[in-house]
Amino acid sequence: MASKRVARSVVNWGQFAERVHPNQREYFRAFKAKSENFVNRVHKNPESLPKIDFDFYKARIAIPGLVEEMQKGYAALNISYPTDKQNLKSSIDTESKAAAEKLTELKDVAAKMRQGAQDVIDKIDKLPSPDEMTMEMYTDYFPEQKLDPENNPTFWPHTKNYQPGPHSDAIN
Amino acid sequence: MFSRLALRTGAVLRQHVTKHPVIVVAARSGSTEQWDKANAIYYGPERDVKNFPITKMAEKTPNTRMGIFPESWFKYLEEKTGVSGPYVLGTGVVLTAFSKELLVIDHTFSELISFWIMFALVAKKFGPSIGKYLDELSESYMKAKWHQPIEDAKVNSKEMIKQIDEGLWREEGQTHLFEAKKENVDLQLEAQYRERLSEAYRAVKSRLDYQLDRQNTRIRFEQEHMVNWIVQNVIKGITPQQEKDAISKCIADLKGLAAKA
Repeated sequence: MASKRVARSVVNWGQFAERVHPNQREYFRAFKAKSENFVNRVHKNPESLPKIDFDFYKARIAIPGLVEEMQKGYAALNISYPTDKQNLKSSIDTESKAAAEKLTELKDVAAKMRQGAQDVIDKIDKLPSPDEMTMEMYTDYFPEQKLDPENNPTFWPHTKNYQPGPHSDAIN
Repeated sequence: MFSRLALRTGAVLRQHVTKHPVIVVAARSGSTEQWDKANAIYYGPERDVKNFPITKMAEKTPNTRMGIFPESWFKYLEEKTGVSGPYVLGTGVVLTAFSKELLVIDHTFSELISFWIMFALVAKKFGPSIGKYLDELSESYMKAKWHQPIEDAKVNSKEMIKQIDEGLWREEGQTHLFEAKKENVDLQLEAQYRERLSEAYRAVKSRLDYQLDRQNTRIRFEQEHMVNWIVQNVIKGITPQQEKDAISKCIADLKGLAAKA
C-alpha cells in the first residue's frame, strides 16, 4: 500500500496560479487541465471494493457452494496498490532539489542586483551637485566618462554622436 | 545668474557632465563603489576642510554699490575711514587722475559718458528679462541633464527592486509545482487502484450474473420443454372417434343456441 491515498487535489491552485508568470500561463493551464483529468479519473470509480449482495444470489443460484465460495473469495480479495515503478516521485524530488539549488543561486544573483539598485537609490543623492564638481572630481566620480585625449582622442565636435564606430548613446 | 556661471570653468564642466547622463550609465552598471571612493577622497575624514574648504559656485554675484563697486570694498574701508571714506577716496582718485592727466578730457570724452549711460539704460531695461530667460534656459538644461536622469535612475532602481522581489516570489512558487507533480503521481496510482477494484468487482459480479442467467435460462427452457411435451402427448392421445364426438357435440350445441335465439 502506498503511504497515503489521495482523492482530491490538495494543492492550492489559486496561490499557484497567482505566482505563475504571465508568459507561462498557457503551460500552467495545460498542466492544470492534466491534473484535473487525473482527479476526474480517480472519481470515475468508487473508493473501496463495492459490496455485492450475495444473499440475493444465494437465494437464486441453486448450485450448492458456488455463491459461498465466491463470497469467501471476494471477501479475501487483496488487491495490491499500484507501485510507482518508474520511481517518478524520487525523480520529481531530484528535480525539485535541482530547482531549489538553482533558486538559491538565483537568489544570490538577485540579492546582488538588488543591493546594487538599493545602493544607487541610497547614494545617488550624495553625489556632489554640478555647482560643486570640478573636472578633477568628475574624473574620479565617473572614470569611464572622463576626458582623456591622450588615450581616447575624439573628433570635433567631441560629442558622442560624431565619433566613428559604435557609440553608447543607444542605451540612453 | 547664468552670465556669471558662464565665465567660470564650472559651466564648461557642467556642460560636459550633463551632456552624457552618466548617472544612468553608472546606475546600470551598478558601479557605486567608484562613488564611494570619490566621496572618501573629497568628503572623507582626510580632507582638510578648514584650509581647503569645499567651494561652491555662487548662483548670484555679490552685492554692489552704484552698480559696479563691490560691497566688500566699502565694508573693508568703512572700518578705517567711516561710511563716507570710500566715496571720498573714489572721488579723490578720479580727481587725481584728472589732475595728473591720467584721465584726459579730450573731444572724445563725451563718447565715454554717453556709452556708459546707454549701457546702463539697456542693462536696466532689458537686463532682468534677459536674466530671466537665461535662468530658465539653465534650469531646463539642468533638469534635462542632471535632475531628471537622477530621478529616472531612482525610479528605475525602485522598479528593478520591485521586479526582482516579484520574480523571486514567483520563483518560490515552484514548490507548488513539485507538490502538484507528486500529487499527480499519487492521483494516477489511486486511479489505477480504483480501476483494479472496479475490475475485480465487475469480474465477480459478471460471473455471478452469468450463473444466475444460466440457471434462469435452464429453468425456463425446461419448463417450456415440459409444457410442449405434455401438450404434444395429449394431442397425440386424442383418437379420431373422440374428435368426431366432440365436433358433433359442438354442432348440437350450436343448433341449440340457434333455436334459442
